[in-house]
Amino acid sequence: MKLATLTDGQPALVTPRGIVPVGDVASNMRVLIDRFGELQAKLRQRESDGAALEGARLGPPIVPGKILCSTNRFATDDEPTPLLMTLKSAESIIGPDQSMLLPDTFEAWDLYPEAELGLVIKGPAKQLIEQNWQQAVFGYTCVIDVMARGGDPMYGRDYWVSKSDTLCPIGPWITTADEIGDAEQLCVQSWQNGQPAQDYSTAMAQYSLARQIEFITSVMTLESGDVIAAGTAGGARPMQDGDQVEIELQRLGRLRVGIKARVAA
Amino acid sequence: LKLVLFQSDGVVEPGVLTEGGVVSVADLVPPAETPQRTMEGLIDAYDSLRDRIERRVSQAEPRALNQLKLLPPLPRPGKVLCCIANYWEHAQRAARPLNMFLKNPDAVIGHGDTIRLPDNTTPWMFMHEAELGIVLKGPSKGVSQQDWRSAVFGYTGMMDITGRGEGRTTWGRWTWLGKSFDTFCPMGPCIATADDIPDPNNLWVQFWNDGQLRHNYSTEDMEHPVPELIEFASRTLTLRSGDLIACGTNHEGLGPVQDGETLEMEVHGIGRFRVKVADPLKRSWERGIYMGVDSTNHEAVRRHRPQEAHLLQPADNPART
Repeated sequence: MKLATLTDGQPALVTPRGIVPVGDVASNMRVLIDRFGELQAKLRQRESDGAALEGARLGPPIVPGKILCSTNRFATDDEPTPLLMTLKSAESIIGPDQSMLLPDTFEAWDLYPEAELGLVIKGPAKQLIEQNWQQAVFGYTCVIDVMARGGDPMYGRDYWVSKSDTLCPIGPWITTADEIGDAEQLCVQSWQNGQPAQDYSTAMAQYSLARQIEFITSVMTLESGDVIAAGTAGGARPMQDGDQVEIELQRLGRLRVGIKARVAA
Repeated sequence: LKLVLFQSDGVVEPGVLTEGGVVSVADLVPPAETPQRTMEGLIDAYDSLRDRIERRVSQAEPRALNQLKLLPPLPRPGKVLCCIANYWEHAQRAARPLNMFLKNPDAVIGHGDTIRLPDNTTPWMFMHEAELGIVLKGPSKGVSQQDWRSAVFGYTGMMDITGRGEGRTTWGRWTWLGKSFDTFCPMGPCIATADDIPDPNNLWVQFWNDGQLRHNYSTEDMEHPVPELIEFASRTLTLRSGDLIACGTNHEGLGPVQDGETLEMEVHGIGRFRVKVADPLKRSWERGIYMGVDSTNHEAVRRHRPQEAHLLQPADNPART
């Protein structure tokens, strides 16, 4: 099932006929995730016979309580760095066809839009062992995790600036885990201003999704609607005012956003 | 006023902490989905509710503290922003650039709750840091230092519990993940509204482990004072009502936390609260202030880095105010 959120906040189904609002079934995506078992039959029914909404506009499919950005890398021969994750906040979230605002960067660092597989969590998930990792995963989505690069590794403000407002677009929708099969066999591609940028497979990871879930749940409890951005590969180029970024993950759809300079208040 | 959230008979209510106990203001505050939203609603409506709240406090009989449970005043902030370092620690040196990280906002616990050290054995030690917390109101973006008060609702006390990698370096390098274990954000006991705290850079912070004094410093010693923190944070992120900025700690009083201990902190003028520590692995470390080679405690500096001893300045008595 493909689950979106309309700009007014109500959940919707993405069907071959179009976008079918289901705000009467679940008031928001977090409720839908928590009660998916009992709501599933009703949602399936609406998927086949619900009325599509003309001109529906999608917002971010979920506004996560926590966003965890992994140090995992795909498709590299480099020595793995230790597996760690860093937090972004809901302020960074935007949805499809919205624009990222270039942040006030203190220094002239480059900002890289990195295409990543996003794991949408069903919680609470705590101290899961690797074999049970799928218990914590409700579905998947596309994430653009913007990273500023070039500062001091310990006290560099580049890591802080990467957490700026709008620098974590997600979407266009959440595809439930049952529809994806093996999430470690997906092609990930990105384009910047129409030119190919990243192109890798989630098959070649330094740290498996199972290992990542085991690791982060040894630190903190994941709640429903939290999102893990599972790491990236090389190929992204610095982004600038007026650019367009598109990413596509196999079976998860294509997410397109713009980039604008911040307009002075 | 000192605003709290408290639980009695299974119901969570907003209230005011007074000398005699807590006065409920539940009927004055708009109903909300969660205790956090209740406090955010109180923050947003405070200017219009203040007269009625003060009248209530002067007229109602407070409920005794032993008849109720105090909750953290912000049980689940939208975000917790933490300063990296940010105290001079009585040494003559150049100011370090201001920088921040995000801490797990699901890690908040309150007075009487328990810090649970994780099974994760990668951090070699867990330490306490006692901090002044700024309770924000918003949305606030691009706030200048001169306008800092427009983004500040009040103040609270916060323990930034930390897993260490090596020495006193936070485990997780630039991710600061060692700060984000579940239960590692004790907060309380109340939010002292900004009108009660004329100068947040003139507050005395104390912290005790099993009754032994560890942190004992004045917020006057901040490298980057509160107005600068507001400007810095709001340059990057939109600050919302009920978000928290932790101002950093003076590391001269750092120490380990371990199974069975009781931790207590007080920001004078705000209030005192305490939490317990439980460790399923029953790890133990030498008790007392951390005196490792990278400690900023003055005795440790003289012991391990005598070449820096001439930079030390005597710590003023923070109680002089």
